[in-house]
Amino acid sequence: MSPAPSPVDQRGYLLVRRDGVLWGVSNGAVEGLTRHGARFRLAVGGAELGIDEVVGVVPELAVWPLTGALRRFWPDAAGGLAVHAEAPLVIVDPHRPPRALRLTDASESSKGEVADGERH
Amino acid sequence: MDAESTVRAGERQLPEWATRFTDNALVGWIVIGGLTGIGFLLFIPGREGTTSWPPPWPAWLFLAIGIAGIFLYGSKVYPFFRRLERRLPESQEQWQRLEGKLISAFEELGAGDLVRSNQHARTLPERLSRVLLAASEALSSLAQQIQDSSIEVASTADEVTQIATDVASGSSEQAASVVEITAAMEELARTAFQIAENATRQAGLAARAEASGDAGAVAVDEAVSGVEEVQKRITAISQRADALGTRSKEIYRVLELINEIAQETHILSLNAAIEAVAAGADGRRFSVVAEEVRHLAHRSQESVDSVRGLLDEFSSSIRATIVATEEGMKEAGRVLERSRAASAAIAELRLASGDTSRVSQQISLATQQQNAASDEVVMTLREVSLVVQRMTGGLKNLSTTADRLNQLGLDIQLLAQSFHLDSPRSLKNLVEEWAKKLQKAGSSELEAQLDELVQGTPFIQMGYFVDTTGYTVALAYSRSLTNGHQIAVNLRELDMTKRPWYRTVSREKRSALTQPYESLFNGEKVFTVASPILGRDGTFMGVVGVDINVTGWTRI
Amino acid sequence: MAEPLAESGHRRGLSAGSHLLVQAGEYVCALPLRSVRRVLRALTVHPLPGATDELKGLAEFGGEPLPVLELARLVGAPTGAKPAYPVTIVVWVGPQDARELVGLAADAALEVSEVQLTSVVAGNGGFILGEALVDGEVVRVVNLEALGGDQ
Repeated sequence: MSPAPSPVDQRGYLLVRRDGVLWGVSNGAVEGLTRHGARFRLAVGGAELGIDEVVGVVPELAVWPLTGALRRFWPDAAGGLAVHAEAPLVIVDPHRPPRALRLTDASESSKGEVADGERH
Repeated sequence: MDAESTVRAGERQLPEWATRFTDNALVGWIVIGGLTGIGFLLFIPGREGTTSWPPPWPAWLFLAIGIAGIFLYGSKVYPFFRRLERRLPESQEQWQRLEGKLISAFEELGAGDLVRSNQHARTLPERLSRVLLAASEALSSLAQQIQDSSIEVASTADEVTQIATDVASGSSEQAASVVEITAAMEELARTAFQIAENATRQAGLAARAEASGDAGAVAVDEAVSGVEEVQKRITAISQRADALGTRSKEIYRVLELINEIAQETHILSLNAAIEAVAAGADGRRFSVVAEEVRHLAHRSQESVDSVRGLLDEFSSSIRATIVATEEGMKEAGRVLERSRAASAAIAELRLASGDTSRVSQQISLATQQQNAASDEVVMTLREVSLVVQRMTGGLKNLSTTADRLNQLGLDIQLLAQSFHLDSPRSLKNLVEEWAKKLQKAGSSELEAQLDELVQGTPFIQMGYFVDTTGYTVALAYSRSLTNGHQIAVNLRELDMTKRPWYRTVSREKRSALTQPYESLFNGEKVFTVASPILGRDGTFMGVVGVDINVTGWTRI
Repeated sequence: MAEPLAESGHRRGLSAGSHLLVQAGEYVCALPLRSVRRVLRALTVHPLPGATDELKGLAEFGGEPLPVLELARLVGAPTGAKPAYPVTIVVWVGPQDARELVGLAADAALEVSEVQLTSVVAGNGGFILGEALVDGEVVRVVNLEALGGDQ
């Protein structure tokens, strides 16, 4: 896969899981992490994202940009792709949080819910 | 000086001067004076026959007593006797009247008519009346007790008769039962004999069955052993089949591994071909090797498929064998179970056969004993039958005695009824009351009133009123007692003056009771109670009579 | 009107030659061997939410993330029997100057075979370049260049 990987942020990444998919968020982009029952809420770029599990923190990740073929069949926003522990993961673009991580219903949304793309 | 002698003296008419000597008063003067004089004279003489004057004091005392006596006699006794002499004829008349009443009372009493006797007794002086009435009352009470006792005797006789009848009936039934039992015992004896024969045959069959059971048991035991052996072999086969199945599974795993290796080899060959193409001309020889490897992988795959096919067949056979062995095991188990059950059944059969044989012998013995017992029972029943016959004879005597007792009761009742008592149970009193009522009735009402009286008295069979010519003026008979009976003769055509009861009543003017005789009305035994109807002046006007059937006299 | 592939293929720079024949559903697809990077046993794929049906998900290949596409859906093949040994074909897609690695999930990798260009019949477009007969069997030649990026 080209081009060669390059780390986006030297401060490491927070690895989280949602619906079985592994996501990575740059530590610098994390504005807050709160617990809601069995799940968590991650504040990124002014938006609150719902996650199932906090996997861990890694100091660095090799990030590859999204390929054209991938974007063709997966139009959601993402900051790139990476691999951790032989498992692929998607890097969250802090400026455009992906729809896949949005909160599922109004009860989960907190005050000042972010609509898709409003905080960008 | 009793009344009797006074009466006798009054009756003989003595001369005037003689009567004065019999006058007690004159005799009294003479005796007292004489005695006084004699006594005075006796005391005058002194000692040794000399006459002493003045006389001693006993003489004067005697004289004084005599004079006092004379004075008393003259002042008291002589006037008394004079009064008595004046009242004597009156007393004689009164006594005669009293005697007449007493005689009448005793005559009525002697005739058994206590009612009239009491009527006469009431006219007597109080003490005499009281005593006589008490005696009459005691006699009346005795007569009523006799009546009650006679009825009780008759009732007892009836009970004895009933008991004798019941016992006789029971004896008859008992005799019939004895006959039935005897027949049943004989039937039982015959049945027991048949049972004994059957039991003997059964014992023989049981012995043969026991022998067959022994042979069957041996055969079954051998069969069970054989089945157990088969079961063991089937188990061994099943275990080997399981082992083969396990091995085949291992082979499947190996084949799977080989298959995976073949697939990997195939993939490897493809990658080799890819690299060979990428290597260009330098990779051409490598592409040949890659192709060979691919062929090798293909052949390996084919071999695996072939082996898998064979193994599938083998596994299928193994499974079929396992299924067959399992079914065989089950079947062997069922056969073994049935064989064991058969063995147990044969063992029971042998035991049962042995028991049957013993029981049959016991039955045979028991039937023999039963026969002996049946014979004894039959003999005993015959003795019982004789006893019953003797008892039946005794009952007949008892019945005869009861009849005589009943007759005795009737005789006693008639004896008691011969008294005319002031009691509703006195027949003479009853008929005399009827006579009074009929006397007051007019001629047109006579028969109706007589009928009413008869219907109202349950023990009266017939009532009639016969005039002085012997003609039956009124006739009534009890419909409940004579219902359906034919009148034997027209009584109104008969002259009743010839009948004994009519003659007695018309002659003595008092109620009469006859002994039982055969009724002209229905030919049954009856007795008659009849009473005269007298006018105000006592003239005889006719007779009222009632007939009472001897069979119903206890209802009095 | 579609022109014979032999001519259009030449104009587009394609050449006949070895193809990797793979089973995708009921179709046999031919992948140009030069575009095939590797044949692997089926990779573990992590589905992405919101993806189209053609995208099975992401896998890891040689330490790099690899998007995996369903070849049978790409070519519109009817669903076949459940594959015994599914494979992932890592191929280069897209134009020559912007090639990307993509994984194609297939039911089986069959063989490498020569596909005569002259026998290729042009298709109606899409991801199938055309059809050809190989040993009497119809194969669909996949247009890998059309898979890359937004076309």
